[in-house]
Amino acid sequence: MRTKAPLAAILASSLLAGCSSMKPGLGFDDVKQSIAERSGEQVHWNNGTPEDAQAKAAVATILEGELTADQAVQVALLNNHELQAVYEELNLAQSDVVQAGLLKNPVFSGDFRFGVSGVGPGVDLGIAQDFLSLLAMPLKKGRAEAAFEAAKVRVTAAVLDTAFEVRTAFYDYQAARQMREMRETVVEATGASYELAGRLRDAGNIRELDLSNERALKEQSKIELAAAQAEEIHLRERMNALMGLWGSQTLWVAAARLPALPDQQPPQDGLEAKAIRASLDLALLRREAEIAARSAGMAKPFAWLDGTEIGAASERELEGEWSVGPSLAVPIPIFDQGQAALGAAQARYKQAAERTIARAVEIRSRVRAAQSGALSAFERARYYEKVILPLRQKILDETQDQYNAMQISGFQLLQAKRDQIAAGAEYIASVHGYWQAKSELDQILSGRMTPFERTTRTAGAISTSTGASATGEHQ
Amino acid sequence: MNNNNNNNNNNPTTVAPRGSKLAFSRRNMLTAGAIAGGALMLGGKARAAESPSTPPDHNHGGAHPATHTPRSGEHFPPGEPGRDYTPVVVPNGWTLPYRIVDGVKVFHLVAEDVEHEFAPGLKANCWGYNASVHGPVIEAVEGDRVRIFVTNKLTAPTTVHWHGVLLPSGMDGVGGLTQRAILPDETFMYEFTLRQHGTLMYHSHHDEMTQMGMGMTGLFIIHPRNPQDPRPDRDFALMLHEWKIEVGASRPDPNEMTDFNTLTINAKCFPGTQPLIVKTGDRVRIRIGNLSAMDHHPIHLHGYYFILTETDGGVIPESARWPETSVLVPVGSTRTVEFVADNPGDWAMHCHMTHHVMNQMGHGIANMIGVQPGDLDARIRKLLPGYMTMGENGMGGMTEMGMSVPQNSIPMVGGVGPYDEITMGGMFTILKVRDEIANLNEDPGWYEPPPGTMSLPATKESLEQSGVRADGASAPRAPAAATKSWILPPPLRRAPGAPHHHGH
Ligand SMILES: [Cu+2]
Repeated sequence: MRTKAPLAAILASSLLAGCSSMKPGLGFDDVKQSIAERSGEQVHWNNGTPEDAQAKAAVATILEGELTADQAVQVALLNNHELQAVYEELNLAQSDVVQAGLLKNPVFSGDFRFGVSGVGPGVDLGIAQDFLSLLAMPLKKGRAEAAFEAAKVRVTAAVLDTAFEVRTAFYDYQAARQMREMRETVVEATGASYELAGRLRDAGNIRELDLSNERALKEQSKIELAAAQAEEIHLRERMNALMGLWGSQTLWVAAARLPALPDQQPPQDGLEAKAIRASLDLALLRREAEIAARSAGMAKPFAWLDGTEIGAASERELEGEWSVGPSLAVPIPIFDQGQAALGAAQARYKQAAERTIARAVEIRSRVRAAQSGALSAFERARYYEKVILPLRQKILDETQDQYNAMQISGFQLLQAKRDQIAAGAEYIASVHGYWQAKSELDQILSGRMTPFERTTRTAGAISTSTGASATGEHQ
Repeated sequence: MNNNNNNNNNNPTTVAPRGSKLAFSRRNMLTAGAIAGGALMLGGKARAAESPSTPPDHNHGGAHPATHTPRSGEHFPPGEPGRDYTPVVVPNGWTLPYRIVDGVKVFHLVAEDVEHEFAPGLKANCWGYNASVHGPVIEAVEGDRVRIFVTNKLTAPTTVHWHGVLLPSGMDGVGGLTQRAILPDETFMYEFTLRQHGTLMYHSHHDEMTQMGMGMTGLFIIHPRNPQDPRPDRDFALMLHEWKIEVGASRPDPNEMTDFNTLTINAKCFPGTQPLIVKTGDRVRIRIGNLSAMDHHPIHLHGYYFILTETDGGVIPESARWPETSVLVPVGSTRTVEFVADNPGDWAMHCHMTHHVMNQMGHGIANMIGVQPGDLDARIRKLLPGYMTMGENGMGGMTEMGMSVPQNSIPMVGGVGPYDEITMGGMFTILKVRDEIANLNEDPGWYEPPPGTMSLPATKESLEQSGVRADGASAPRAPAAATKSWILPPPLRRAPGAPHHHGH
C-alpha cells in the first residue's frame, strides 16, 4: 500500500499532524481532581519535582502518629510504588496519542542503475510515504485520544482500588489486633482457672484428671493466641506492603481500636443513581465503545450507552455525557480497510455497548447489596453494643453474685468471664464487619465495584470460641 | 404458768404424763341441749364415753372402742381454752380461731397463694392457708365436734387431709379416693367428732408432691378432754419442712427430690426462727411434726434430755418411753417430748443433720478447704475485680463479708450472736430459759452466764497451774498403735497339689 508521494505532500502531511511532542505527567491533574472529588484523598506522582519531597515529608509526619484507616490510605496513595508505576500508564497512553499524530517516517529509496546496452548508469531518488496513514491520521488520533481518556479513568480506578484495599486491610489488621488482645485475656482466664485447679489439687481436693482437663483448656487457648498473633503479624505485613513501607518506617503504630460505630445508619436514598453517575467501570466501557466507534469510523458513540437509560424512569436523573443519539449510519472509511476489519470494529462497539448495559445493571444490584450489607452489619454491631454486651456484663455480675453466695465455684465464674470475652470478640467481629461493609458501599459510591463475594459475605467469620471449663463440668 | 410448778422434782421422767388412761368425768359431758342424742351417746356404754380418749393403738393397752365412727351428735360440748386446755404456743405461727355454732367448732381454711418470708432477706411465692405458710394450727379438744370449711382460692384443685385424725372415710380428704378435688373457688365442708387426742397434722392430699412442697401443711392439735397429767406450762407446736429455693429465685421448686437448701421450723429458717421462751422450772412440752418432702429430722436439744411421750399415734405408755437428746421425727409423723426447764441459758435446738442447718447452701461448689490462694486472687481480680477465694477455711465467716449477692437470698449460716457469728442456719432455733422473765412473748435478749460459768480464753496462770502449754506440746499425742491401719495376716499356705485358679 505504498504510494510514492512528492516531498511537498509529505511536508503538508507533517503540518497536519500538529503537536508531536511528549508532556510527562499530562492527564494526572484530572486524575488528582477526580480522586479528590471521589474520596478526598491526595495523590502525588513522583516526577522529580519539589513536590516529591513534600509528599515524602507528609508520609513521614503521618507515620509518627497513631494511624487511622484514612491516614493509612493516604500513606499508601503517596508512597505505594505500584501506584507510581500505574501512573506511567498515563505517559504510555499519551505516547500513543503523540504517536498517532506522527506520520510514519518516510522511506527514502534510490534506484541505482548500471549502464547496459546504450542506457547509461543513473540514480533515481525518491521518498516513499505511507499516504494512507496520512489520510487515516485523524481517525487514529481520535482513537488514541479516547484511549488516553480511558487511561485516566483506569489510573483513577487503580487509585481507588488501592485505597479500598488499604482501608479494608487496615480494618482487618485492627480487628486482628483486638482479637489477639482478646485471646490474651482468654489465656489469662484459662491460666487462672488452671492455677486455681492447681491449688485445689495441691490441697488434695480435686483429681489429677480435673487438673489435666483445666490444663488442656489453658494449652488450647495458648495455641489459639499464637494463631491470633500470627494473623496479626501477617496482616500488619500486608499493610507495610500496601503502604510501601520498609526499614524503620515499619514501626508505625495503629489506633488501638476499630472506629466506634456511627450514630446513624448507613445512607439509603438515591444510592443507585449516585453509583451509576460515579461509576468508573461504566466510564471505561463508554471509552471502549468510543474507541471501537472511532475504529469503525463513527463520529460519536451512542448516548444510550449512558447507564441512565437502563434503569427505571424514576432514576433517570443523569445527564447524558454524549448528546448525539444512536446511529449506525457510520461513515464508511473511504479507503480500503477491508470488510473484516470494519466488521470487527462494529462488533467490538456492539460488545462494549452491551457490556455497558450489563455492567450498569450489575452496579445497581451491587449497590443495593452493599447497602443492605452495610445496614445489616450496622444493625448487628449495634445490637451487640446495645444488647448483647450489656447482657453479658449483667450475666457476669450475677454470676459473681452467685459466686459470692457460694452457689457456684470459681471455675464457673471464670467460665462466665470467658463467655463474656467471647461475646466481646463477636462484637469486635461485628464492628469489623460493619467497617468492611461500609467501605464496600463507599467504594461503589465513589465509582468502583468490589468483588461480589465481598458484598455477599457475612461479617464476623473470625473464630471466637473460648472453650468450656473442664473443671466446671465436674463441680 | 399454772400453779403446778412443783420444781422440787427436776427429773423429767417423773413429770411426764402418766400414760393415757384418761378418765372422763361426767361433769365434762354434755348435760343437756347441745346434743340431742346425749343419752344415746352414753347409752349405758362407759366404753363409748372413754373412746375419744382412748387411742386405737393396740400397743397402748387401753380400752378399745366398739367402733371408730361416732354417730352424728355423739360429741361433747366444745372444749374451752384455759378451762380445758392450755393453748399451744406457735413460734412464728398462729392458731386458727373458731366460732361455735350449735355446739360445733367451726373453722375455715382458705387455700391460697402466699408470699412468705423465710427469714429477713428471703421471700418466696408459696401456697398456704389463710395468708400464712404453713397453715395455722387447728387446736381442739378430744370430744369436740369440728366443722371445717375449706375454700380453694388457688388456681389448682386441692383437698385437705386430716393426717392421723380418726374420722369417717368420706372425711379423709384424699383427692380421688374419698372425694373429688375442691376446684378453684369452691368451698367444701368437712365435719367430724374428735375421738382421740394428740399431735396430728393436716395437709393437701391432691397433687401432694407439688402442694405440700409449696407449703400446704399445718398442725392439728387435739388436747385431752380430761388430762391425767399435769398440764405443761409451755406447750410448743413446731412443724418441720424443707424447700428448694434457688438463690435469687422466689418460688420453691416442688420438683426437687434431694437438693433441699431451705430447712424450716414453722416455715422459718434461722435467724428467722422465733426462740422458745420459758421460765426456769416450767414444764415444757414440744410437739414436732414433719411434713418435709424427703427427710427425717433428728431434732437435738442442748442442755437437757427429754422424754419422748407421744407420737401421732397417741400417748406412749410410760413403761415404753425413753429419754434422749435428739428425737428423730420421720416424714409424715409427729413426736412430742417433755422436760422440766431447770437449766437456765440459751440452748440451741436444731436438726442434727448438718446440711439441715445451712441456708441456701450451694451443694455443687468446688471443695475449697485448705486451698492456699496466695497471689492468685490478685491475678484473677485483673479479670474479675470482685473476685476473692472463699471457703478455704470452711463456711464460717460468710455472713460478714458484705459482698454483692443475688437479690432475695440469705447467707448460708445464721447471724451474729451475743459473742460471735452463729455458724448455723436452717432448722435451728433457741430455747431461752430464764429465771426471771416478765413477758414470755418477748425475746429476753441473750443469756448472760453467771461469772465462772462460761468458757473464756485460758489465762497464763491457769495454763501453768494445770501444767498445760499453750502450743499444745503438753497434750498427749495419739500413739502410733492407736492410728495405724490393721494389716491382715498373710493367706494360708496353699495345700500342695491344690488346683490353681487364675483370676480369682
Ligand atoms: Cu434435718
